[in-house]
Amino acid sequence: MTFSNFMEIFVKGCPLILTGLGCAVAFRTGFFNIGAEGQFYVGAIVTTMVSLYAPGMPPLLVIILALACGFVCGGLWALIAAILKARFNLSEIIVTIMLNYMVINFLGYALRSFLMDKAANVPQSEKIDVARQIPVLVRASRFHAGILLALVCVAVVWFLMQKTTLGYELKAVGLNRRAAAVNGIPVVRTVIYSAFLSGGLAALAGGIEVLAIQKKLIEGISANCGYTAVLIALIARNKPWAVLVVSLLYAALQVQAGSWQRQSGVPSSIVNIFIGLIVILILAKDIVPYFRRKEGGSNAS
Amino acid sequence: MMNDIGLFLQTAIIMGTPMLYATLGEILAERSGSLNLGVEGMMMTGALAGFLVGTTTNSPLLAVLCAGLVGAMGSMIFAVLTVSLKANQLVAGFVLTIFLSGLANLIGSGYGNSTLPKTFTSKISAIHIPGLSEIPLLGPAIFEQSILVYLGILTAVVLWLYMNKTRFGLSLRVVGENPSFADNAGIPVTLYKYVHIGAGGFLAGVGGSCLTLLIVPRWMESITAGMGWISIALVIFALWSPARAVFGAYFFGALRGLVFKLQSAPITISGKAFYIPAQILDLLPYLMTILVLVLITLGKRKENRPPLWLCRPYFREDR
Repeated sequence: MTFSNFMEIFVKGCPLILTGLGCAVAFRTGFFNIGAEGQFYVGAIVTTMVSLYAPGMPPLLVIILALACGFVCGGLWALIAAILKARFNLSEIIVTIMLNYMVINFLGYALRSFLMDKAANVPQSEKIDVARQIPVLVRASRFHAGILLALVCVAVVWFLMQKTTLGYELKAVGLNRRAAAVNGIPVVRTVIYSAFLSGGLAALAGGIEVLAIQKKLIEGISANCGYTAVLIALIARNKPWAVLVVSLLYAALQVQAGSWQRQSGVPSSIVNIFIGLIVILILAKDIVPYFRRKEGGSNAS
Repeated sequence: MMNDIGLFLQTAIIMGTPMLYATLGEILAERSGSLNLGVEGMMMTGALAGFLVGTTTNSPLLAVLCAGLVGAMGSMIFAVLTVSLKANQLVAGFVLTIFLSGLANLIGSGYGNSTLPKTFTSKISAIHIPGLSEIPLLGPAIFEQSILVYLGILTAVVLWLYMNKTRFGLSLRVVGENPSFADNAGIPVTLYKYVHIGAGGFLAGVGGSCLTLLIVPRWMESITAGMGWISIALVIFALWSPARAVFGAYFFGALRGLVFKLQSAPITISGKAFYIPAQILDLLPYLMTILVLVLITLGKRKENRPPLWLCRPYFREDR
């Protein structure tokens, strides 16, 4: 593996880490948010707009502002599902999936109308000014500053979940909603915090992908990482550090699959099927004790 | 004008048919207490299997049957995971969708350009019923449809009778409401769950094949475009009853038909023509799904609730 390929693992891993973290936070609270895909796009759209249209300001400030706006909007987008769940008891799964399809269609519209680059023939936004892009840190690779931000997010989410009252409440609600309510934890408020944070993290991934990798908004920018993130969070059992490890492993597979595709024509989409199979096998892990119980007869509990 | 509306109703019913099959299947699974989120994936594999078998054997019957069987095979993964291994239903179903749609897209990636033979499409296209299909307004919608559309309605009727008028249907509902009670009454709970999850998968596969055999009709990547998820929402709209599923599915079929119509025909307001952008129209069904669900829950009565044991694993030992 070459050096730039090695760095590419982090580049590919960055959006997965952030969206995976987002899913992990939500799942921990018992909020099955599969809307990371849509929240990613909300972040990408908002970040692009702020970066393109913000008036003259120091570039660093514009980057921070753009990412922050993306974070907030992505969080608000996820809140729709949380509020519908709290108010009408609608399944957050169906609502977030519908919201995903809505954003993806809206992106298609935006790139053909108000965000369209008039000079280009394909639906894409104008290129973001070089000064307002997230800088590359390591020469001869695409290792950018956003990756460091993702690592910081892992640490922050870990701290939040393990060392703060809010984290304790989030986990308590996820473990047993009724027990949490009985013990005076405001369940609805906690779920809303968790949904906001979850959506925000996914949106941050979208913003970073625009500012650091693509440098403009295009269709299909997420490469389905919002759905992959769900699987990553499941494999990582919703633990922040495990999300980091699993994301990087997944990214390594993806990078390697890319070169397989070039060399021997194995489609790189095989990675997604592979990871789906892994989760199915994890779910089926109880099959071993199941058969043992059958053989052992009555001596099993 | 009358003719236009007649054609529109005809399109609405065709468009609603895949969702009708999938919704009916999911109703069966949910009535047995299993919320299978794998519908989208099972529809995808069904769509691909139907298309591949259709192009090779040129037989609609085989194509639809194989699509159903492939869907049922997919649902068996879910059944083993959730019924026998007591895995979380939401996770298992969601992963099934990811896995199966990925698989279908991978296998189908080479078939994007192939089309069904002419002799095949003529076998499955609309049947003219002379005389009756000439009735204005409702004629073409009811009496000029493909056999798949009629089969969909027939399935709904049969399932309604099955669930409300037979002993098996009663047992099925008991399994979904209270499996330990069912177990005490001598109903084979595990068998019931497996059979109805499998039947649900079969119908989802058939629904998927309607897309590649009748509506589109060819294979495209991610061809279902969220129809499986809308079908799961439609189950809530239908309040777990096959009869209401028909209306729900055709309503969403009409919505999709409307989207097509508005894309080609502009809206004229005081002499000026306005085109609504295609992408905005395309997001309407998804928005409507959320709105419909909100409306349903607003008008909630006590008997309109999901099966009590939905989404909960049943441990026989805990009885």
